[in-house]
Amino acid sequence: MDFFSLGLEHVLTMPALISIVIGTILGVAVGVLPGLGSVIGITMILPFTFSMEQIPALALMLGVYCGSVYGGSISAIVINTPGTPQAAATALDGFPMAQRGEADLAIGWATMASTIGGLFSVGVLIIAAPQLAAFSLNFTAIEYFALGVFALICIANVSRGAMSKGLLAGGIGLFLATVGVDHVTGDMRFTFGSFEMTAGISLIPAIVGLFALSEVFIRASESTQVKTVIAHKVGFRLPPFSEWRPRLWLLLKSCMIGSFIGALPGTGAATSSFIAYSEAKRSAPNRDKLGTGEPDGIIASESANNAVTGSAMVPTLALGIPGDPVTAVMLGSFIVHGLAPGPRLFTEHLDLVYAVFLILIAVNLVMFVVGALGAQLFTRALRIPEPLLMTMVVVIAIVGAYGVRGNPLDLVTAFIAGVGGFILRKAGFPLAPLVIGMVLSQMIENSLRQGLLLTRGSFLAFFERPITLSLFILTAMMLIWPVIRWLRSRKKEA
Amino acid sequence: MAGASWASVIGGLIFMTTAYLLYHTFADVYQTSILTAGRGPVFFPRIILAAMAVLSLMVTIEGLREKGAEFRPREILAAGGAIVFSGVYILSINSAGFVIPSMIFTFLMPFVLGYRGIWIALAIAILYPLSIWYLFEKVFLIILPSSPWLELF
Repeated sequence: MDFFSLGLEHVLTMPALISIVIGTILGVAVGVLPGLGSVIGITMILPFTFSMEQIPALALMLGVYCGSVYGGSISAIVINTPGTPQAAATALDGFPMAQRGEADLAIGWATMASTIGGLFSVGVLIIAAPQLAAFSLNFTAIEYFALGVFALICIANVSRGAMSKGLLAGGIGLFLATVGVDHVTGDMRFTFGSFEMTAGISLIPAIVGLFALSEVFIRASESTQVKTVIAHKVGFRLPPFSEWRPRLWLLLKSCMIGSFIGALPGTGAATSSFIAYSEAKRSAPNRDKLGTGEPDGIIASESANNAVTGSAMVPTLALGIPGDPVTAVMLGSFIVHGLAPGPRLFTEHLDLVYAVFLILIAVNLVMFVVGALGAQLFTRALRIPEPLLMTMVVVIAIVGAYGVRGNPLDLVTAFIAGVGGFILRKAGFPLAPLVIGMVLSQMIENSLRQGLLLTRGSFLAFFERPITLSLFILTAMMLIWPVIRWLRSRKKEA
Repeated sequence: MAGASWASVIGGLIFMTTAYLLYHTFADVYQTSILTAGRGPVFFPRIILAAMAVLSLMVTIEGLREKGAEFRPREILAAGGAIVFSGVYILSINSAGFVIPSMIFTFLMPFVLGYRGIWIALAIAILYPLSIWYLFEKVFLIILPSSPWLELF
């Protein structure tokens, strides 16, 4: 109870409360604007947090994170263009409702479902994270090695594009993070005599380049015509409880799907919303009407994608292993603010963990108010011409890249990462494994070396530990399954 | 214009780079100590690079079955323009400070991306970089690169 009170004390300060509100508003705005998304949103907001206290900084970023996942639904409903990939399934029923003149009601369904989904996932986080952290206290370096490899293979495997491209992208990430000083022996690696390279490749500038700059270059290559946005009239109307009652089971099921998928590495809000939507199409009472403007579709998609936000933080907070690029950026920014996620966070800074829980609850409640009061205002943001918006993204992203260390070389890193990200995306490489590879590299390398010391150099001894063996079996299955699927499809074709 | 697919070109480039880096791990500079029992500074990178070499070859071979890359001149011009502009902007920040290059970039970049509203672009080019500069330098006290010519910025 003491830690809870301390956590509450951290959150009930004026800077933290203001950050929660501003972060949520900015998050919704970022989510509304097609193409920006959660990762770019958090990287854009990151420089603003550098001079902030720990808790307000976390509140701002968590607000942007949750708000951006919800915000995508507004543009999906109003202009049939999901602001974020997570809201793509929302457009299937949201836009037909808007065409019928019920955009306000569709936004009401989406806002309510998002809030409930978000709060449900915070509940999952509160229950699961401390258990997982306590369980992981028994882990040695060997288990961490197996866990890191498993997480990376999962992400590489389920990313869009071919598996080999995903794995290669993960390998690039792992390698890039080894450049600079070897933290075990103190030797220089791959610096080629350059003093500037000794500090290694900084994560935040690389993420800024890979996501924000490459997005601008991709947009430039795809369209040279400025599109005019035609938006439906927007408002907010809450559906009556009598309409909710028959849909409560669907809501609960979608929340569970979202929370479960969110906790798995490599998946995310987009996957969960489509799985929940498919499940609604299979089992919802009004399944025949799905796709024609049926609230069931909005409930399934929106509750599932917001149910990811809390549960995705479970492995990030409890183990220090991010499940997707958004939580990777969150992890990086937690570290920038002196918080090292992992089991020790739960033993040494439980008050901060409670503060994070409380912030997430507050953010989801504020998100409801922001959606209810500001839906009309946010759709005005859609009128900002894309070239102006993208230019502004570049400028703020550059400030973000520079601000972490104040090192001019980080600007060059961001630019090279931007061009590299653009080329890789054009060639169909997913960027998520690359970023996760960079984040996990040090942990995987350290635990491998420590593990080999524990086993006196025998890698085979790793397989004698039950948790490690289970994780290796799962990893092998993840690698073999696509091959089996491919062989099956070939057999069918023949 | 069509030719080899992007994936095979990129896969091939990654393979060549990886092969060179793998060769580089055997340089004398890394044979530092016998105390590391073979697990010295390049132990882990060597494993990664070896895996990358195999994977990049796979990507190159898989890419040969994909459709050849198509380049539209307008696409290349727009993307190339955006990349060159951003590169020049980033390099000039280091030598000319944040505000002036940002103003020039914010004014010109929208035109590269297809925007034509000159007055709005001009207004944003003045207001946006100045607001960012003021917010970071004066409110958040984060020092941005300064100009060698103007005392204030």
